[in-house]
Amino acid sequence: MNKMLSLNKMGPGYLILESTIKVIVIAGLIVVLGWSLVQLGAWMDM
Amino acid sequence: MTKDCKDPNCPDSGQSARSSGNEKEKSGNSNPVKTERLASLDALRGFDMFWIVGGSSLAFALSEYTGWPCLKWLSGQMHHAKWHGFTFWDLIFPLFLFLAGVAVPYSLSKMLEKGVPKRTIYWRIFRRLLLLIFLGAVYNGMLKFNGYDQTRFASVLGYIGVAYFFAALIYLNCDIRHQAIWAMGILIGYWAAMKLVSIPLFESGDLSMEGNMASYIDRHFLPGHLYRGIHDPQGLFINIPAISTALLGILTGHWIKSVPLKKVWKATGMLAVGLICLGVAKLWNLSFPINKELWTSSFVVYCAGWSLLLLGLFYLIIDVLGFKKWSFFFKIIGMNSITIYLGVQVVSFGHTRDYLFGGLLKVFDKPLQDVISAVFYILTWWIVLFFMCRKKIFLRV
Repeated sequence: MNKMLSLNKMGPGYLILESTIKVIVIAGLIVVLGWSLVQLGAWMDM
Repeated sequence: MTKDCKDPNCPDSGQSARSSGNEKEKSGNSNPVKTERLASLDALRGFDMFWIVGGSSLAFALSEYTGWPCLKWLSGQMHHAKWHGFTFWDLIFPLFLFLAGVAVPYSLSKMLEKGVPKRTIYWRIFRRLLLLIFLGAVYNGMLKFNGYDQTRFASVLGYIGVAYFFAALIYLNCDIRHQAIWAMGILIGYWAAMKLVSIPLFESGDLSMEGNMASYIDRHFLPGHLYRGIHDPQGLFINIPAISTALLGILTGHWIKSVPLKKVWKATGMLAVGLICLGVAKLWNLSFPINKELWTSSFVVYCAGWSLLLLGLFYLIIDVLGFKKWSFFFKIIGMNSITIYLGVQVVSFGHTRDYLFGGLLKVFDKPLQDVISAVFYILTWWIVLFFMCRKKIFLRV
C-alpha cells in the first residue's frame, strides 16, 4: 500500500501526511467538544 | 545562595532551566556533564514581573514628568486592549506562561533522568494544578466568603495551572513532533470551533463578547461569578489555546536545550522564528482577530513571536555575549513570581513605601514626586524579594 502511494514510512512525505491527519483529528475533537458544550448549554436553557 | 531551592521558578533551583546544550558532545565522554544555568530565562521572567511590581506606574510617572513621546507611547501600552487588538500589557501574562513552558524540558526531563517515576511526576503537576486553582481563588477573594454568586473561581493562576498541567502531560507522553502536532491542532481546532459553532440567537463566527461560543459555555458551566458578568477572560474553553502557549514554550526549551547548534545560532533562530510568528499572526488576524480576552489562536502566535524575540535577545545578551551582571536586578524579581502576583493584591506595599520613604518623598514636588515614589515602590518590593532570596524563602507550588 505504501509502495502504491509512494510513501516510505520513514520518509518526509509520510511524516507530513501523518502529522496533518493528526492535527486535523485534534482540531476536530476540539470542535466537537465546543459544539457538544454549546448544545448542552442550549438544552439547559430550554 | 539558593543551591538547595527546589522551586522551578528559582534560578538556582535544581529544577530550574539549565542548558546542557552541546556540552556533552564537546566533552567527548559519557560522564554526566554539569549543566549550565539558563540565566536569560530567569532574567526575562523577572523583566516580565517587573511591570507588575511597579514598572507600569514608573512608566506613567515618567511619561507625565518628561512628556517624551516615546514614554507617552509606553504608558499607553500599560493597559489591556478593550477587545480585539494588542498592547504590551497583553503580553505580560502569555509571556509568563511561555517561559513556564521553556523551563519544562529542563525541570521535568531532569526528574526523569534522576529516575523519578512518572506517577510521582503526574502527582506533582496535579498537586501544582490544584494549588494554583486554590491560590487563584484566594487572590479573587474566596476567603472573604461573599457567597457563591459573588466569588470568581476562574483566575489567572488557575488558568496557568490548567495550561501547564495539560502541556506537561503532553510533554511527558509525546515526542517533540507530536508536541508540535498538539500545539498546532489545538490552535486550528480552537479557531475552527470559534468560527463554525454558533450559539442561540447569534450567527456562527460571532466574536463579540455576547455572541462568542466560549463565553456562552462559561455562562453555563463556569462556577461562580464571571469577571465581566457575561464573559470571563480566564474561562473554561478559553483555557484550551493557552495549552498551546505553554507547548510553544516547551518547543523553544527543546530548541535551546537539545539542538546541537552554537548558541549564537540558537539565538538567531529564535529571533528569526519570532519574526515569522509575528507575520503569521498578522495574517491570521484577518480571519481570527488577535484578542487577549478570547486568547485567540492569532493571539497565541503573536505572543509566541514577541516571546521568542525577547527570549532570543535576552539569550544573546546574557548567555551568548556573557553580559550577566545587569540582569541580577530582574533575576531577584523573577525568583519569587507567585509571591509578587499574590503580594500585589494582598499586601499594601504602598503603605510600606510611605512608611520607609515618606519623609524623603516630601522633598520633591509633583510630578517628580510621582517618579521617585514609583522608584521607591519598586525598591521596597525589590528589597523584600532580595531578603527572601537571601533567606531562601520561595513561594512554591
